[in-house]
Amino acid sequence: MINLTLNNQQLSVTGGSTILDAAKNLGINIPTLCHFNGYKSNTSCMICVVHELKTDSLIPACSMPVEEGMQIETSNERVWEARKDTLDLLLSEHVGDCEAPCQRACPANMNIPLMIRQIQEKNFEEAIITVKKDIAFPAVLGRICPAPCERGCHRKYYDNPVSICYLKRFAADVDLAKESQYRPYVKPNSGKKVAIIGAGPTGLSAAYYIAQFGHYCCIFDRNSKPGGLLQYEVHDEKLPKSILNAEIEQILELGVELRLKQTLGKNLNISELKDDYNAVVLALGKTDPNLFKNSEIELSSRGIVVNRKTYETNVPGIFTGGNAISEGKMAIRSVAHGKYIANSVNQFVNGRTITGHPQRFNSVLGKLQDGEAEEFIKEAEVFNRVVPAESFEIGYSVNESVKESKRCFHCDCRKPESCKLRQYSDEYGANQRQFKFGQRKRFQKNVKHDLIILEPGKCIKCNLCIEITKKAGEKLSFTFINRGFDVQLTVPFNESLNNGLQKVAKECVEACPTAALAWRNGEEESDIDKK
Amino acid sequence: MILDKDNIYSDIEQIVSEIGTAKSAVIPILHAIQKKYNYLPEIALRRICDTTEITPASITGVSTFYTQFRHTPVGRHLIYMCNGTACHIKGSELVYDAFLRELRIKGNQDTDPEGLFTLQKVSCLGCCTIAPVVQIDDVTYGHVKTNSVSKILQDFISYQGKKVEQKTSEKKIY
Amino acid sequence: MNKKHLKKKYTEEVGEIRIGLGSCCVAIGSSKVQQELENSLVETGIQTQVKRVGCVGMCHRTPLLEVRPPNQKPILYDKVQPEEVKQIILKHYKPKSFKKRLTNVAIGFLENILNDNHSNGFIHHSINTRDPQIESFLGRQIHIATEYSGQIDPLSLQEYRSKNGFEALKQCLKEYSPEEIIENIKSSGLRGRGGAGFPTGQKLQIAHQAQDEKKYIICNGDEGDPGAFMDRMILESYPFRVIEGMIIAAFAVGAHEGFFYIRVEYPLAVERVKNAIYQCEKTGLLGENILGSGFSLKLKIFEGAGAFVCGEETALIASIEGRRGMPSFRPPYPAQKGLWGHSTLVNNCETFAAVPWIIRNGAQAFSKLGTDKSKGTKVFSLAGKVARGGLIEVPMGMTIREIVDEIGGGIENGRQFKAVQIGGPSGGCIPVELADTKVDYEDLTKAGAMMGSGGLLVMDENDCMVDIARYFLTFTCSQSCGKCTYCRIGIHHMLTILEKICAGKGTQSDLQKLEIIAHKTKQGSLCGLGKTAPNPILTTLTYFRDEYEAHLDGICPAKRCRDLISYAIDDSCIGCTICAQRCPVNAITITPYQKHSINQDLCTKCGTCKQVCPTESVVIL
Ligand SMILES: Cc1cc2nc3c(=O)[nH]c(=O)nc-3n(C[C@H](O)[C@H](O)[C@H](O)COP(=O)(O)O)c2cc1C
Ligand code: SF4
Ligand code: SF4
Ligand code: SF4
Ligand code: FES
Repeated sequence: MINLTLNNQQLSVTGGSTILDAAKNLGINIPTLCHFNGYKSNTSCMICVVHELKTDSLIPACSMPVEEGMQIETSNERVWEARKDTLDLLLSEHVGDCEAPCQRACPANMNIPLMIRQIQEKNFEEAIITVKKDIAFPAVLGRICPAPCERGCHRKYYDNPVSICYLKRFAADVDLAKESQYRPYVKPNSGKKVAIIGAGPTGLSAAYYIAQFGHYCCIFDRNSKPGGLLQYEVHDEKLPKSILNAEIEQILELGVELRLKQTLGKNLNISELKDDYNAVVLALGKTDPNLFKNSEIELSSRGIVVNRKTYETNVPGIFTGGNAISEGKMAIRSVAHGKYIANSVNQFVNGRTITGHPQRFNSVLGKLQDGEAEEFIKEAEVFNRVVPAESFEIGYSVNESVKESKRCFHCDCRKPESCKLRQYSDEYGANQRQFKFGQRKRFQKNVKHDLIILEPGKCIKCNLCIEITKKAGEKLSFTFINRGFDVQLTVPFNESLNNGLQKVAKECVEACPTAALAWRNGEEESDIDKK
Repeated sequence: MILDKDNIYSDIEQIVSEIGTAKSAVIPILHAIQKKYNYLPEIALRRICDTTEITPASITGVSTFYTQFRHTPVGRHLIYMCNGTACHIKGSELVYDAFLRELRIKGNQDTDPEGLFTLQKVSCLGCCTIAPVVQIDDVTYGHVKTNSVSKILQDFISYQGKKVEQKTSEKKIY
Repeated sequence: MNKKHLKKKYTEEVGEIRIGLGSCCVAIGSSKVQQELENSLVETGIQTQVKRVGCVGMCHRTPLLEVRPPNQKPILYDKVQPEEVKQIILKHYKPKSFKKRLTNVAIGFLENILNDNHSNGFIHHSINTRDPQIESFLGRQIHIATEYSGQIDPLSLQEYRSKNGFEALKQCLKEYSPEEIIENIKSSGLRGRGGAGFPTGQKLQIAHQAQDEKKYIICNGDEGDPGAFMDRMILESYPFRVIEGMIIAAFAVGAHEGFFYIRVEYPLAVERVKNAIYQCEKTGLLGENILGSGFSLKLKIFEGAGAFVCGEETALIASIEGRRGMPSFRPPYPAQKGLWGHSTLVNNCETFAAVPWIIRNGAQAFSKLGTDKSKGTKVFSLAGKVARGGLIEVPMGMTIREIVDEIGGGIENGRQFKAVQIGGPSGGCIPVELADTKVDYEDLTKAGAMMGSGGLLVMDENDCMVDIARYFLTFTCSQSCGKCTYCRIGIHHMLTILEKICAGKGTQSDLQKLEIIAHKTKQGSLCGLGKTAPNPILTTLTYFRDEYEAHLDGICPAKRCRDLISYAIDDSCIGCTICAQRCPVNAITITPYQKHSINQDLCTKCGTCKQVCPTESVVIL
């Protein structure tokens, strides 16, 4: 038995075990990437370093055997910094997007590629769920949105962006046309009450999500009809009122109460609302600051002072967003704010810390280089944008939208949840741009497999898949070629992925710490567990 | 050289019978193949996998790791431009460029249009005291200057003409 | 009379001609000279002995031919051309009827280096051993690993034996127990010559104590430092000595099988070692029951395939096992668990070469040399801007200045001594201000450099330190195995920044990041390659930061970095047109008898005009 100290705890472990083993015994977590149970650690990633105090050195816990008298700290400033450096370096050679660029460009952060795949599979019921998870007004926005998402779309490097906006509108229109439309699950009544002032896109969107959390919502608006700018300022030709009203109706159906002709400062008083409700949302659109002159709400020359992450004002329990805090006409921005406000409100009324919209780490590929669109097109059809045959007002037919959906490059990562690199990057606050010099590596994807995709640019060279295929006796299996910065994972003799991976595809996908090896359809390990 | 499958197969058989079939024989075998063909033809590599314990993963990984191994055919003669430290500080970079120019090697190619010479940088030829050094096949030239490049090539070609069994007389006794 | 005496008598009668056949010599054409010599002797019927000798260290004068006629002073000829050979021998073995047109005269071979008047091939004069230059060259060298340098035929087992060869082995097998040998090596203070300087005796002990039914021994002759050739020279010139050291070490640890790992770029070394092993096997020095002791050892050669990292012991082992040469985490150390999972003793060839000497002369004789913690001698390959480059063996503790000035004869062409690069890609640049640093493992490390394998490169004011750092990073970047995060990515980024700086496009923030990554890579890499790759950057940043700063402003003070200089012709131009004729891109118009000028738009900065100009009118701005 060997005695050592780990995070100030004395322990004895059997000789030959590693520091990682010892830490596990104590329930201490040490991050690992190139280590996988049952296989000899490759000692290549260096994420698992811990601090040995006596020698004042950083050592990889996955491989270092315990020694008598060691004094280990598994998580101190030096360790933390080294792990972040490791991640920053790994990310600097990482070529791929966690979230697709369209999704990042979308103010509401809608999972666009997922929606597109659902349309492609004619799974329209799921498509509307995906859309409505983030956007309360897809049919409306499908008609009036300037589509910032399309500006981010990688397909533009090949020909033209995917018609994301039409596709989203299609998903929404199909749903609206149905007898029984999609109605999200609403949690049982929490007993909490939220007042929303303003029935424009911000207020309605906030209500849509607050209601889903099980809180009672009441919207006050000074006009006689809900919808704000959408109702009064958008031309009917662009946005038929029937569409707007139908989507508002879908929101109200969740049990949201609407009280019209209620004007702040006249028949409505903030401090009273504050007393009567658990939270108040100011979604007033462009607001005259004089309105709040005598209230406790802090103002600046630009209007209401607001925390741009949580949408809180200086008064606890009062939130604001939309055009009340930012100039500009993009309805999608207001709709997005509504969603984020709902999140904060929910945290507030439940007495939790308000974190704001959780921003996950995102690896960013950036502009495509010459020839890279050709890699992406491997998973897409080559024809140009589908133009709706009928007319703009009608939009895509079923066939047209399915056809258009096949143009999508599927830029999003297939393991955004289970990827350990992303998880640790979140945890350690890694920064992909920290070590950004010169040209990045070329994006590549290998899809010559029925079920699996290999993206060498996401490989962190952990050697696991090579060991797994070797152990399983795959005939071709995997190998690294070249050396140094040019090391790359391939199938020997440039054979197809199908030939390389005949026996242990599942094991490799599960062991791969990133999405270098993943299911083509983006199934995550957690999904598999569910089945 | 005509690379005919049957010939290669019999060459491989010969090589394998001399060196062995163990996994660890991969590097000596690759040396032998390259000695034979001046590069590593894929068909030969595949044959090795079929007739020994060496796996495709191993032969691909190993043959791309070590710089000595080439996967494409080379010119008739190999010019090694020493890029060791001593040669570097004595201006080997400029000499290298002069060879590229003289041989009209373009872009990211390494062989002249006639396929006569392949130019390759090497780490160190171990002749640091006579830097910059160039070795063409087995002939070494020291103190090379950018403007002596064409003279050297001429000298080499004329030496090729004269070369009749002028090998080291160190006898092989094993 | 026995054979040995017969031979001695014969030599006395006919004398002998010695020819240096190290790689440098062969590279420069000594095998052609040898061929010619043998032909000429046959042709003329002259009776004499031709003797090959190993490297003599005087690499800058090769090919070398030493004629030792009977009862006459030996004469040394340098830079011998094949067509001159006949004249040379006729000069000594027949009445002098030919015009002498040769070079230097000396007494003895390498031990006698002579006048500094190189390049003038027509002057010759006899040399006195007390000539101060020879004094300084010889006086400071001590030959242990290179004992009998230039005197013995590398492949003559008989000659090696006649000079105490294999005496140490006999002694060990007959008189000493393994423990005694290890004790002996320990007290000699010998440390590994492969770079890191691990105490050899301690390593022997670990391997000796390893409980393993099978053990291996490996001689590391991978020598990847792109500016060093000591190991090549030792293997080429003293193969028997290395073998003897290996047998002793194998006996001490209990290994019965072993490998020479030799770079494929060293074909002559491979050939010689192969030959030497064969001779040893024939004579019972290798194989079963060595010299009747009951101890057996089988040695094989493994040729590398071009990977610097395979000098690292765990990568070397991977390579022998037929894998990509990627290092693995230590512990376990090879001495505990190495080749095919068995205890394996890995040492550098110079380390092994020192062992027989230590046994014969005693640990004390060895530990008397050197400094407190670095004992004995070290072989260096001295090259660069030094007047007399070559292979030298000096006692530890000698200062860098002494080596450069006294042995190397100072800087060539009277330029300024600026720095030495020691330790190759793992080492660093030591500026002239620190030239009194001692050759000592700890002192060099303290200065930011490293003993490394023994490359010692001298630089003058025309060498740009940023360019040197970039050069080494280009090397390590191409040699990184690509396994661990820091080495694979960190080195690449550092190189990218250095290239940017050399192109005059660097910024202060680049410089800061460079330093940050350098420290992190040093700390985080798995093996010695990555851990030491930042050294060339860190030392130059420490001692020559101003040069980096100057590059940020677009100036290369040494006028080296191509993107930051331009060529121009000054008023001393006589209008000879040579430069214009030679310019490969026609950037100079031919204007006879008038001052020429360079079209900067066309100029590729190849430097040809500067080289050919007879009046040195081409200048770098
Ligand atoms: C990148 C790298 C390259 C090395 N190259 C060599 C080499 O060429 N020759 C050598 O003897 N040792 C080399 N070494 C050191 C070996 O790993 C090992 O320490 C040495 O062979 C042990 O022998 P010694 O104790 O006699 O020095 C290298 C180490 C590293 C990290
Ligand atoms: S592999 Fe991980 S880090 Fe990379 S893109 Fe996918 S989720 Fe993001
Ligand atoms: S190609 Fe598809 S996933 Fe990629 S940006 Fe465009 S819509 Fe999004
Ligand atoms: S592809 Fe293989 S080597 Fe690369 S990260 Fe995934 S499991 Fe590791
Ligand atoms: S080095 Fe320990 S998990 Fe990768």
